[in-house]
Amino acid sequence: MTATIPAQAPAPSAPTGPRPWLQTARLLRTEIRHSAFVWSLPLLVVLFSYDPYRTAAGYPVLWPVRSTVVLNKFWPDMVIFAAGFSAWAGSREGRRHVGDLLASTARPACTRQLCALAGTAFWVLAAFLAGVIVLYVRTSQQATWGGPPIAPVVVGVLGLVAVCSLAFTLGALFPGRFTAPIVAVALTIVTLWAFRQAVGDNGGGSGAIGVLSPDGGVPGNDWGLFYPVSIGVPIVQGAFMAGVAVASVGVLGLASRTGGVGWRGALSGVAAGGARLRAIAGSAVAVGVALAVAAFVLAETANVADATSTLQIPVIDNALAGTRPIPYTPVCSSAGSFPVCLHPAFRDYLPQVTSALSAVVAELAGLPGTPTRATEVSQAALPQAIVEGNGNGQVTDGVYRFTMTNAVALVADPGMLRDGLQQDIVHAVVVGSSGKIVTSTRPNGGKTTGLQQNNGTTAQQAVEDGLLRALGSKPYPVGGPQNGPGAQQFQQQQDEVAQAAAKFAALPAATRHAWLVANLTALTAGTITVAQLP
Amino acid sequence: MNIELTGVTRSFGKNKAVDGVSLEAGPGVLGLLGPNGAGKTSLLRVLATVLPPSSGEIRLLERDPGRVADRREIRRRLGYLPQNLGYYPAFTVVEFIEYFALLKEVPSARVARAVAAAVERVDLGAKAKSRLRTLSGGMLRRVGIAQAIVNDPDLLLLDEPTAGLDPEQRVGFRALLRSLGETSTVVVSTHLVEDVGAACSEVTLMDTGHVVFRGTPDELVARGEGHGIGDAPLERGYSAVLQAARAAARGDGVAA
Repeated sequence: MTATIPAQAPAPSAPTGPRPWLQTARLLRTEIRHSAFVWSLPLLVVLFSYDPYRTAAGYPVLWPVRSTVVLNKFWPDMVIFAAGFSAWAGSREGRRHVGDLLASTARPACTRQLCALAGTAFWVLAAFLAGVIVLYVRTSQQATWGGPPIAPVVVGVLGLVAVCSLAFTLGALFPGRFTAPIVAVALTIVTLWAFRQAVGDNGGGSGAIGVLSPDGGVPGNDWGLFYPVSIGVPIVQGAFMAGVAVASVGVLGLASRTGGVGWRGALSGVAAGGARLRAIAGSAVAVGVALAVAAFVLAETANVADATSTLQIPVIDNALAGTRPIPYTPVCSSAGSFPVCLHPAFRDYLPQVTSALSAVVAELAGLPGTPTRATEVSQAALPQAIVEGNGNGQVTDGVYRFTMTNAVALVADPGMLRDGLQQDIVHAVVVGSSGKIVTSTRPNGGKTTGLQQNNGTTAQQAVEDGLLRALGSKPYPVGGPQNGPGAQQFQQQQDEVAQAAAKFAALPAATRHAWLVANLTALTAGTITVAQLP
Repeated sequence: MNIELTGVTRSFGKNKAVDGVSLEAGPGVLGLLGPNGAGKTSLLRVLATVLPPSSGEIRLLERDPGRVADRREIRRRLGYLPQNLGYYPAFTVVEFIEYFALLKEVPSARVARAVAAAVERVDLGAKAKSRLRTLSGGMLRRVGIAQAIVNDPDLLLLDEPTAGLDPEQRVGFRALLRSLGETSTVVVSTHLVEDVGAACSEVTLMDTGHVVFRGTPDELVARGEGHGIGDAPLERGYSAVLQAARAAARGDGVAA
């Protein structure tokens, strides 16, 4: 049946020259104003001050170490909020049943949705960057060397953009009131799982997932001081995150629907959308997936470089000469006759280190093996036995070479610095080396390597602990059986050592020193027993 | 012609919601009447370019909505109020209407003026800064009408626009419809025949996806003379046409 209303006036008027960027900016402003993420800001502030900020404050004032808080603490804290509120924003059109209304408007759905995504991402990134600024300003007021690392911030931003994009797209495809909490929890679980992969069961990163995870284990204190932190790792992390973000936005573009909501609407959109839109969105998906896959493949090539003890992506880091040492001028104490030099990043620790070492050197003055100076070196420059053992360094050629990685605890403990350094020197003079790395064969035929600690004889232990006690330090940690038939005997030995050590420590300093001058050679040779000690 | 439909069908599975509808319309107010399930809303969604037709030809505002560029241009000049108006509760009245003005690509320089004019036309000036969550159902309906007319559309599609409006507002709205119909094509889907009588220059009656009557309200009244069902002349015409159409469908399968 055909029906006609006579035309009364000519059909007018295409709009005159809309400026898309200005309209988009106004849409964006509206979305920013109405982003629900704002409601989470007070909670984020509380979380920030109790987790990343407090953790960073407990770390040594070293840019490379403190900046790890950005990705290890702050980034994971933000993931659940970023994911939840992005999914909430993405599911808005479906939840509010405005699909028909919006589908009849001229602006492409992907533009509209990108504005909504950007509205949430704006607040997420603003909150993240504000937190980073607070952390960095605080560190800049205290740090004595170096500057704020940018790589963690870039990776964090890209990671949050990826989380927002993925969550928003999931919200748009599967709108519902439960989508946001489900997506938030799911992405948080993925983050935690990736974190576990990053730190591994033994504290060492493992696998491509671990390398790609922005958050990971806490590095050593001299990380990034003697050798540059790998630029390859943040590059592949950033590339992976960018790939996820681009692919998610591409899927969002493909899902710009002409009717209906959810995945059916998405399919309908793919079928009915313009060829240009499909091409652009499809290309975005392809580029994003390619980028993420390339990053994954590169991450699988990651290994710990021998020279720097840091994780490297060989293809990138070798090309960028990332293993070249960082030049620096050490800071040295000029007071007294025992010079101590530290990396300038540890300038604030120089008085403590000098005080601890001067005291022990004074106690051992004139004895063979006592160092004449001390200098900090990279942990990578020390033998594996030192790295894996209790010590901080070794005495070679009259020089005590030590790392501050073990000496300065991540949790502030002034006594630990003194104890560790003094234990090292006393052990080197009285006992000798701290141990050696041995390889043994398991019953199944496999090889295993580990530290065989050099505890020394009980007489050596007693003199060592007596000297440390006199200096106010803790006894040298000695390994032994904790259970089984040998445990009781070991405990008896340690009781004897403790009694003899107390007795030796109670001697006047001059008496102790005179005894050592007379008997050190025999003591180190192992021919003196506990009973022969004064 | 702003609307040109030729044999348009829209199916959902095996169900043909719109079945071979042909229709032409220029400026004026076209009332779309019919019982529940007649296909009015589906036809409006097709006209709103929300649903593509399953078959048939469709031209809106002298363009082909099947083509992306044409469809975008049509949408710039289209106003649509769906039966169930979804909205964002946190938006204010002005923000919501402005949001749609931007989505309809109203030139930036004209947005503020267009929004203010739309708000005034639906008499919501006093509530312009109120959040939508605070408004009554009738006010929300007026917000929906405002967003539909904010771009000064050449083709305005309204699905049950007067639902929830009080009598005074309904009278005002009918005047608005007549005013809009002077330059635009306005299609109003409604169950309320008095709206049709008061505001529409033409009436289309649908049943089971077919157009079963096309004419003026007076012609519909004339079809009801001597027919007993209905309180008002238009209602009697409405019932008479439907009864005849169903009888014809049962008899020879052709709706007249």
